Amino acid sequence: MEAAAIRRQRFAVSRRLIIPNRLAFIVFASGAGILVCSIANALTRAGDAPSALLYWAGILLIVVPILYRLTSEEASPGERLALVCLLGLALYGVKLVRDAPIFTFADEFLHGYNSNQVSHYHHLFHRNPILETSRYYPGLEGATSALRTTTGLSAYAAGAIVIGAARLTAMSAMFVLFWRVSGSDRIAGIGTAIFTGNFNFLFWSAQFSYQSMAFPLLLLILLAVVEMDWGARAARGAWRALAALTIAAVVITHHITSYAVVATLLALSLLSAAARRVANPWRLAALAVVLTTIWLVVVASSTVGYITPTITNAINSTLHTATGEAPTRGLFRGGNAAATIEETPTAARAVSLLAVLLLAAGLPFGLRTVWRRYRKQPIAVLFGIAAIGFFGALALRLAPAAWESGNRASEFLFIGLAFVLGCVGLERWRPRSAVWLGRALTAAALTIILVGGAIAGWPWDSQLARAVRAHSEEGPTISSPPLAMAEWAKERDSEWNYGALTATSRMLLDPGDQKVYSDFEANLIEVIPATKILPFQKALLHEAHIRFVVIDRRAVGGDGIRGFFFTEGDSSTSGWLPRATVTKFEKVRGATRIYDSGSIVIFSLEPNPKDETLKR
Amino acid sequence: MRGHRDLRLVAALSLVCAVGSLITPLGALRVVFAVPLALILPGYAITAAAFRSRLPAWPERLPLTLGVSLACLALSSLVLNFVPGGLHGFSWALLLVLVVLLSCRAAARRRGPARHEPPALSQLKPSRATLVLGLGALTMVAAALILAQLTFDNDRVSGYTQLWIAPPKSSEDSARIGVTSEQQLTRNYRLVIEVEGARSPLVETFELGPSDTRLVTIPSSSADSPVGIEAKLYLRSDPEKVYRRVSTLLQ
Repeated sequence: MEAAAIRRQRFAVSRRLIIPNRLAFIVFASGAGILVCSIANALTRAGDAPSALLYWAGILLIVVPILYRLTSEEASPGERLALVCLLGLALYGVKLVRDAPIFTFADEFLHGYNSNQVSHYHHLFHRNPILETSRYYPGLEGATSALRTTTGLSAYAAGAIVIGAARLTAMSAMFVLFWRVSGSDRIAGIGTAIFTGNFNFLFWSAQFSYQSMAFPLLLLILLAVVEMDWGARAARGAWRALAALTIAAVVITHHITSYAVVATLLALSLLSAAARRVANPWRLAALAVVLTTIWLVVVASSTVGYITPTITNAINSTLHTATGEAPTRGLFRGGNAAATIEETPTAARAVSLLAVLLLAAGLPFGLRTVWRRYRKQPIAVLFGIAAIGFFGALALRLAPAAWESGNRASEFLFIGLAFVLGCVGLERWRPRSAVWLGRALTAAALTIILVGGAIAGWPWDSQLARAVRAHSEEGPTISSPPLAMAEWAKERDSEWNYGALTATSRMLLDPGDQKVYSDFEANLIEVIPATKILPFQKALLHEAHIRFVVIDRRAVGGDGIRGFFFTEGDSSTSGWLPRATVTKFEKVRGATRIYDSGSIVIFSLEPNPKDETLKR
Repeated sequence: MRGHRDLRLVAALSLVCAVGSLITPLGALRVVFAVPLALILPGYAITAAAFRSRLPAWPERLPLTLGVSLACLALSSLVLNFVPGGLHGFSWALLLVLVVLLSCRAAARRRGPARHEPPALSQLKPSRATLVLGLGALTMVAAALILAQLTFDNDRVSGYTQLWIAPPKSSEDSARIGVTSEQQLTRNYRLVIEVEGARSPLVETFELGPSDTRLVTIPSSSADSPVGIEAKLYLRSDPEKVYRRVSTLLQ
């Protein structure tokens, strides 16, 4: 009987066990965990500052039963698949109950704006003034438009469904991928659970952003490559066709993931050639190279200018830090180090560091198993290399300008690390005096890895949502300063360009729906926080046709994580930008102050005579 | 497609979902039709067409169905972008139905004679306790999501007041000055508006509750040159200190 038929038969038997009461209890616990997390978020939005323990208790309620069951011997493959899908979706639920429910993650505003543009103009590729590159990768917004145009849902609601489907794809594809490579559904379940401990899993990878959709498709491509190698010969063409379709979708969805697909397929082709495997994915690799190159050259050439400085800065920063010319980046800062933020408690730091130690401690054992059992499989070898590479990417987190590159790379490399650590086999350790010990230790280690990853991946003080809207003491609803400003701008619906920094610029995009420039455009990143404006800077604003400049004086105004929310009553204004950052514009000829909410001020500059022809 | 129960079901469902998503008046209800049409049926049909009779086991089918649907949506949006009319509800529904029907037809042809395979779901027989626990979990998730949508009383957030001035647009003949309260409690204000060349400033005193707005309209100037307007807002509790200030030039 061929392998596929054996698998089908095995699965047919296990299917009967897919909904035993044990799984139902775990589902129930996950539901309760999401509710507890939602209550913790609600209390924070109500200004009650609940104990962080409540939130983490909710997370533990979700993960502990699932992780413990995944370590068991008797769970069927179907049950394990259901468990990892449940884990992925329940943790996605934790992100959803943190939302406002409007976008509150910095990248979501950019893609929300793109999605609104698609819905408004019924075409792709409309300009995004803040992240120009994003318009050339419209896969996510295109997919979301299918739901938006047929249902009338908002970008937030439709996006939440699309990213939920992508999350389910990622979990199921990774489980089956690890299962096929290892031949063990137990290793697959544990490996997939370990992947949820990567730093970005809980929040960053769950946001409405192009990588959140492209990354699961990368996993599907890897699954197809493995099936081509190990599955029935007659099905190879089908897997190849579906992989080609998915590669094309990745190419138009996200630049970095498409490069990861190219790199992975090229590496697999080389390893397959070295191992003299019959099913070499070189055709898929060639397709990925051709499609990615064509898209980059013909459609998205601006991506080069977008990515090159990031990589160059990362390399320079790493070298400076390594040679001691520059200080190392402080860990557990999370975004704006200048803002007065609550420090991560020592216990939380300890859990996070322990998680990294556990990952490192398991690596040699996992690599030994991979080498002994799976070294003839090119993808297992690649997983081993990626697992080692993860710790290199981890070191990049210490270099200030390399942090983001390291963080991005670590998610891709974590796929390999998850597989390798899934092979450690601690759960099979059954000392006579305590046969349960191996399982218990594995479940505990998995929990620490998951919780530690969540702590390291998102600032401690921002794990819970804050209020962007609140009922005032007299009842009516009031909005946070940047949200109220964005709503004012939307109502006014100006034809002119805005210039703003982080928090205000994102909210002017969505929900403000305004054309807004930010950061390095017209040197705004220096113009806005400065106490004087120089003639060349005025000229730059003029040349960029920026009519309205938004100055957000709040300490969190430049913070892409905390800047969107209300500040609490006891927050000090000592960290605000100096008053001169605002008054400098009063000396600019023709500039008038048209909006003043205390912390946020908008100046209208004299229009550029050419603006009449450049109106939206 | 005769004899292939799954393909017939998928084809029929795609038609029902397309029509349902287009004609159902309630947006939330349309989601029930649109989600399978966009995120499940295309992936299932394309996978079935690709694999002929050797369909992969259902652990593979789960990521394939969802992942291929997502890939199909991304690529289809590119196709629709170059079709007259672009990305509309109708064009999406039509394209997705076409993809599903053509894929099902191709799958039926490639599969050959139908074989009787019991549907996988019929083997799932959850016990009563399982159903109760599952429903309980669903209820809690629904409660969690509803709770996440709610706005709460929060007397700790810092309130503030907006003062703004909107110069007249080409279609308007007056400027508007607005005061919007985002304060926790009702407050008393004094608004002083100085128009260049006017003998005395316009002074208004008023109180505003949270989220209330006070609007003052200033007619356009008949003068040839622009006229400066400056508005100052004072809190009645601190009448000497300018609380907010805006200005503009009125044409």
